[in-house]
Amino acid sequence: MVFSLDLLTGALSFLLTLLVLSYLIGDNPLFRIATYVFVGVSAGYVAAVAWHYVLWPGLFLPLLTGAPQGRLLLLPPLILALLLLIRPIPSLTKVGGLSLAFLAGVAAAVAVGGAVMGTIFPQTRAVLTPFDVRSALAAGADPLERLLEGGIALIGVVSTLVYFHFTAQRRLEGNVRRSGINRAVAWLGRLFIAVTFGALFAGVYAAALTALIERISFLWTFLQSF
Amino acid sequence: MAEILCPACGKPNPDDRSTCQFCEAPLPTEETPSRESPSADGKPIHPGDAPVRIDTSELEPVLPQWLREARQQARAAAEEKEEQPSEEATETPSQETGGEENKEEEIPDWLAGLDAQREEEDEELPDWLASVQADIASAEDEESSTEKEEPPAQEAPPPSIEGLELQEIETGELPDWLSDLQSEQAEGDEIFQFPTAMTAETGETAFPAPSSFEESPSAEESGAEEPLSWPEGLAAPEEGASPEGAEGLPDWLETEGASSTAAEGESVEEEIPAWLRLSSEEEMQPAVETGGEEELPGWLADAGAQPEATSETPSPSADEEKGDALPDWLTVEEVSAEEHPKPPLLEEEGETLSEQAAGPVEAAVSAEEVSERDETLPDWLSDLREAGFAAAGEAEEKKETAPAADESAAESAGEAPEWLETLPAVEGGRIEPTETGTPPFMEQPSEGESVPAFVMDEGELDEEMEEIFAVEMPDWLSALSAEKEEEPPEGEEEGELSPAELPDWVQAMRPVEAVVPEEPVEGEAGTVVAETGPLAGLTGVLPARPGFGPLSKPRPHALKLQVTRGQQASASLLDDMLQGETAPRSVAAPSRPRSRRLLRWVLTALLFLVLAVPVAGETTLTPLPALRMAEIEAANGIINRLPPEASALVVFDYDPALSAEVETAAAPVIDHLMVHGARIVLLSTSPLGSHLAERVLSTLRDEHGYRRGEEYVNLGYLAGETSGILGFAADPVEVLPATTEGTPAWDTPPLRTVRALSDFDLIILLTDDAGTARAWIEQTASYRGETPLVTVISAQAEPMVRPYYEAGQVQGMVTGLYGGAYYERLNGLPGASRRYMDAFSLGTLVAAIALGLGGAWSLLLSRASRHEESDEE
Repeated sequence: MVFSLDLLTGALSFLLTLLVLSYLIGDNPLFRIATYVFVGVSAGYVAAVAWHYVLWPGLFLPLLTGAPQGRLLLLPPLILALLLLIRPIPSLTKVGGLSLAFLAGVAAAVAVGGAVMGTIFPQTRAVLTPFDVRSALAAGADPLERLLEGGIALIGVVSTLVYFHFTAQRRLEGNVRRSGINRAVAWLGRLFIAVTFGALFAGVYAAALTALIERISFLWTFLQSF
Repeated sequence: MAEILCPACGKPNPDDRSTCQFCEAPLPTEETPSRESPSADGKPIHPGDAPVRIDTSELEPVLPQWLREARQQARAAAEEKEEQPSEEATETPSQETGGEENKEEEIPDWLAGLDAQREEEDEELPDWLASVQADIASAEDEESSTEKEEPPAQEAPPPSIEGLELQEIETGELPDWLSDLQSEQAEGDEIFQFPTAMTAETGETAFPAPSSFEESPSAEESGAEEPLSWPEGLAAPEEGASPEGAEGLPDWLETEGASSTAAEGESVEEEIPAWLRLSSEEEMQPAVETGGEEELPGWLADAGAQPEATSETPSPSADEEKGDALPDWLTVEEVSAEEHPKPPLLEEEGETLSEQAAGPVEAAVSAEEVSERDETLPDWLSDLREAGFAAAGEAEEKKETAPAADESAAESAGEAPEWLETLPAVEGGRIEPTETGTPPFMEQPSEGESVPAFVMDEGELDEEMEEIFAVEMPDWLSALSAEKEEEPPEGEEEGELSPAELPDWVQAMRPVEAVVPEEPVEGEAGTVVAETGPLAGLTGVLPARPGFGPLSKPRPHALKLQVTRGQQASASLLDDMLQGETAPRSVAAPSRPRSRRLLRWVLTALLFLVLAVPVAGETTLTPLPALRMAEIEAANGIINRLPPEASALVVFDYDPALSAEVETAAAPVIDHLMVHGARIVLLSTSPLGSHLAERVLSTLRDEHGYRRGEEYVNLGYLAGETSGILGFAADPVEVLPATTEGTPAWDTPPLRTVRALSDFDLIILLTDDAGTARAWIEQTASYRGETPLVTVISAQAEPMVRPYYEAGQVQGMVTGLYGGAYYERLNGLPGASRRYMDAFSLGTLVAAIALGLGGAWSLLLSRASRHEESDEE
């Protein structure tokens, strides 16, 4: 066996994998060491990436070598970044909030706009599209199948939305209950939600199982190298 | 013994008294219907009413003519005195002068009627008094010369006489001797006060004169601060300062004395009633005391000498001389005075004096002054006075004045008339009762024993008095006696007559409590007068007393809580629940974690075994997915339709934790791209994405001969997440101008034809997060154009991304290991997915079995627990 960098990285990977798998016996220092190493290495790597790929080429390099107009345009981001840095100071926390407010406001605006234009309208149209028999025929699809598929999707969407509709009326007996139709549709929506969560759990299990298989394969491959 | 608080002075009094023993104010009694006495016009007097000034001259007509004449003479003397003020000031003592001035200044308004009375002379005189006046008129001429020679002070009536006049106005129809006593009571506060009850018993006074004085504090204060001068005048002759004391006799009295000296006594005696003869002697006493013998007529001088002689030297010779000197009528009068030495009103003098002496007057009078003045008083009166003071001393336990009083009483004992000597010895102001419980003088006299008329039985006394008044009583007095007969009993007399005869201004000065009845009295309309509080005195208020509430007795309510058995059961159940909540619970032994750990180890071992065996054995037992997967086929078709040297943007937005799954699924896709010779542009919104991208390409670039900057380029990290994605979609050149190496990215062969997002031929998104996939789908929807978007995602993100595929927003999708295996099958190039497929299938099967067994075990446990609970119940 030739000592090489791949062997060293493979050994570290093998060791860290065993440390993580030690969580099978519960929370232990070995597992904590693995997590601390992962968090530390990740943070360092992120900081390096941020400096190398964002701050230096995007802010400081233009300020030092850019045109005057470009420098002026970079002053607001610089000030906002400095305000974020002074946020840990208790007396200046509110000043640092200005940068956070700017970031939150911009992110919210972008997210809302993208959700409306990229999710709500297209998804609403997608729910109604299967009921367009003409287009289905033009596409060569089975209209009945699309209607059935579209109907199930519509029922699933409506029933799921009804399930999250919590408006109810106060009865004469004093209790508050939703109407019978509402409760029936909500019950159906709960079924769709349960199926969705089941699919999500299956996907999570499949992802985790694939990662485990990959780790076992790595361990086996590493062990086979000796 | 209960006490009654005086409404005027607020001091306690015994409940058997009708008047206050301190201020002589009438005390409230149960017989008193209401203190809200009506005024003269019949209207009730309320608190706050302004006193109305009434001319008391209305009372003047009822006075006898001789009394009005006496007043007139007094006024004439006062006018003469005003004419000679300087002489009077020099010759009269200072105190006396001051007393007179004060008297003149302090004449109350009830004396205002005197002015109006001056010119009224229309009353007819009784016969007997007319004859006396005739004698007076005849003797005036004779005495006018002597009067002119007298000093001015003699012309003015002495204070005692002036006070007598004032009291006469007040008492109205009282006889002279009683008026004299009342004058002493009203003015002689320094000596003692006759109680109102005493005067009321006589029936002569129809209104409570003392109360009128006592209710005016100014009168009391003035009387206390400025002692009246007539008692001093009484003491003046004793001191022997000057004979001026005798000059204070009124004219009418002097004329009467003159008339008596004119040897007409017998004729006068025949006309004068017996009571007046008696009173004349008593009336002479102050005159004798204050006057000298020189100026007095002979008969009066003798009468005045008698007390002096008795007081100084009570010898029998003096009596004989006196008897010799006196005229016959006066002798008879003296005898009658001995027979009737004491008026009926003095029957209770012992008690009343003792009560009066206990009052505040006692503090102002010293025993010495009393003893000195007693010498000038008649013997019987001085004895009674001393007895009263002694009684007061016993009552107040202040026996400082007792020795002097006893001594004077002892001195005068020998001078007392016979009837008075028969009285029991007064010790300490108390008359020892006899065996029958009554004083000796109140008992029935024996036959032949001469007793005064007032000592006689009441019936006999009344009869005798009726006889006297029926025969010799003047007209005005007869009318009074007739009224007296018609008067109701004493209790009603006070309640009815006293308020009716009181002037309005006196009643208006009563305190509020005197107006408000002690008990609410319902009026004619059923209204109620408020007693206390801010509504005191108002009528028609709702009474705060029983009567307006429910008349029936309130229904008793049981204090015990009445509950049913069901309520008790519920309460006990609630109590048990509360106790169960508060009671400490024993913590069960942690047995289940041990079993779970064992289960965990078992499952772990099973899973590792199932996964390791296929991996280690590199088995291909599980066939590749045969079920058609349209999304994967769409992705494969898109790549297949890419033009040569197409630019494909591959976004690595997944974390290293799930890199195995994503990379397993992405490996056949990227391999497919390289097969088609597409130029690859690497990008990542995760800081670790660029390194992962390099790692994926490192395994494939050598196989396909890809070089950095030629066939692929790495733009590196795109900061800003959603905003960064939007910015990159809007202007990719501006956002990421350089590669990870720092070289201009957009001049490289992969990006040479690209200036916008829509210029890319294909966008492949590798992500394990549905949120990241949605962000890319949403933010690039408007900038993608016709560029297809293929997602290579983790299995856990598939349920969230598939709707976008179904909606046409994502044109192809490869999901997880299963999708990668399927894609490998489409490509015909087996890869890592195929190697993991057996392990993945076994692992999924084991997981399904474990889930099934776990569900069944949980079901069994739940049923077992239910059975245990049912058994326990």
